[in-house]
Amino acid sequence: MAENGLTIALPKGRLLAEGLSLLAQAGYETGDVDDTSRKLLFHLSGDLRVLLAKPLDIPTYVAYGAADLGFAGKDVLMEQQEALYELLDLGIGACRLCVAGPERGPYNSRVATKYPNIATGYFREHGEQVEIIHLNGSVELAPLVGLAGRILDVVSTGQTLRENHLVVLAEVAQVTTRLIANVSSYRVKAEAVDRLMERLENVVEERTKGVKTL
Amino acid sequence: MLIEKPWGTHDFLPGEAAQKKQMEDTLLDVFARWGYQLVETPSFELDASIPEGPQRGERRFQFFDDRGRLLVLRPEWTFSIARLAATSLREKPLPLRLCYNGPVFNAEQGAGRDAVFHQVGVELLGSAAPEGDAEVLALASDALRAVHLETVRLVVGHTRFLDGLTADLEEPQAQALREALVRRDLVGYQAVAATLPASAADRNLLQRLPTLRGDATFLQQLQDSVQGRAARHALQELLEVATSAHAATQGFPFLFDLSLLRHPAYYTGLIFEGYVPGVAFPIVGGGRYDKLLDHYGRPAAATGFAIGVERLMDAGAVREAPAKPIYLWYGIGEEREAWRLAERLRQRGQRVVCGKEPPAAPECYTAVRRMAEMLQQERTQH
Repeated sequence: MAENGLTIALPKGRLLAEGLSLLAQAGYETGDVDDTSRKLLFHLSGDLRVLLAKPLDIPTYVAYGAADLGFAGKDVLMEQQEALYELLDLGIGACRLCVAGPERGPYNSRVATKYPNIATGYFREHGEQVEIIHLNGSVELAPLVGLAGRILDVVSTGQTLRENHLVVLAEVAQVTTRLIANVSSYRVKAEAVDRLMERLENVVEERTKGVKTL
Repeated sequence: MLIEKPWGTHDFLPGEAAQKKQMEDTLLDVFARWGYQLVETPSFELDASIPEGPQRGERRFQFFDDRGRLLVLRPEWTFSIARLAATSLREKPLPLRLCYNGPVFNAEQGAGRDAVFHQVGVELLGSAAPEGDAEVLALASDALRAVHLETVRLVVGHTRFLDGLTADLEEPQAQALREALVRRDLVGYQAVAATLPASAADRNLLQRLPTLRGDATFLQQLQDSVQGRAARHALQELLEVATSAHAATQGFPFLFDLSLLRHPAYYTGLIFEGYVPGVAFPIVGGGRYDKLLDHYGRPAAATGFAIGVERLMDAGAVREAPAKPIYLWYGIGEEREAWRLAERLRQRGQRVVCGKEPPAAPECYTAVRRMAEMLQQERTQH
């Protein structure tokens, strides 16, 4: 972690644009940050440094202090279980963690997922013995080809599920993107963290108000 | 054959091990000057001797003795010191000032969580708040300064502040708030706080709790807005401790944080953690645990802290590299004389290695000297 200023880790891909627009609304110039080039480190105004990483890696960067702060999905935080501060619900990237499968059972005992820890915990809590199949993507394929009876995955619009003739069988958790902080940065850089958090909080509040009045 | 070592373990190589020992000695020396006596306990304890409760949540290394009794590798020092105080040291009058140095073991993997790590720390048994807390806080500051850590930020909180604010709530709700703070999940905390009944005393303070951090002036201003007596008393105690410890530590900066809660769950008063810029994990942590010794049958107010040795090393707390020896290179037939010369040099505190061959790695020595040269030097010095 840099001794001065703050380093924030943002997820590459789907959520980057929304994350950047939050930072822009909070008063940070995010002009040249994008994930289409090979550049992964950017210096913004106001002593803010942005690093771009895979969404699943964000908690790791923050837990080890390579970044002071990060934007991470609740799904990723539940899966990684790192010791870090979860400061603010940013209200973006809303989706649900669900168990899904073909509409009619019976299902075999295999469950395919990108989230082996969440799946293990969920089925243990529900007293069901399953075999967790860890996949890195295209999880919805698993029931179609007989790799697993069900899947545990994030569902946003449900479009992907419908296209693959799957339905939600149970909801595991509601997911949104969170502002997270390294435990040391949260203390050592308390003033800077509080300032950034306050700015983001105001933006998020404005946005929720906007949604409500629509 | 591929020879591996277990996950989460670390070898201290030549140089590193010397630096580690030097740092531990420096800390223990500070503790000794404050009247704390060094003790050692076995690396493992009977699992049954560790009290039931939420503090048992962590995963440990456990195994059985030959009679089938469950043993546990020391998960932290406080339990062992408490057992010691209540058994072997039962007749010794309180207060007891004890310090320790050695490895602790943790079976849970995660960022900054090794399987074996080292702690140097103190326990002050039989000294109540606020004097005991001020002593321990000042001692921690003194110790960190002795290893050249001037940039530590000490974060101080008080478990009874939250206990006071939540005293009138339903227990499940109060517990949900505490658990969210221990998990450092401020979003989850806010979600629970938002559901508090409007009638709850200090509801507003509870909802603002994660933002309640600042310096002593901030604490003073906060006092007026606290209604609950227990919470106000906790604030008062924090202020008193801060004032006396601050005087003793020549202005080591404290950051008060009323949302600070620490694992394990045995803390009952003032708690603190220390952080350094550039190190991702706390380097020191501790606090008051007035109920723990009840379990061991010798009730006593108690407080203490532990410093993470590896984290101090990460923070660059060690400055001096250990001295290298000189290499005494002797010829055929000079062996006996060389050993006698080396003996004389060692008695004067010099580090000496002797050999018949020229050294394979001369950079490992401060100098390479032939016998005649050394004898000559010795003669001119006397």
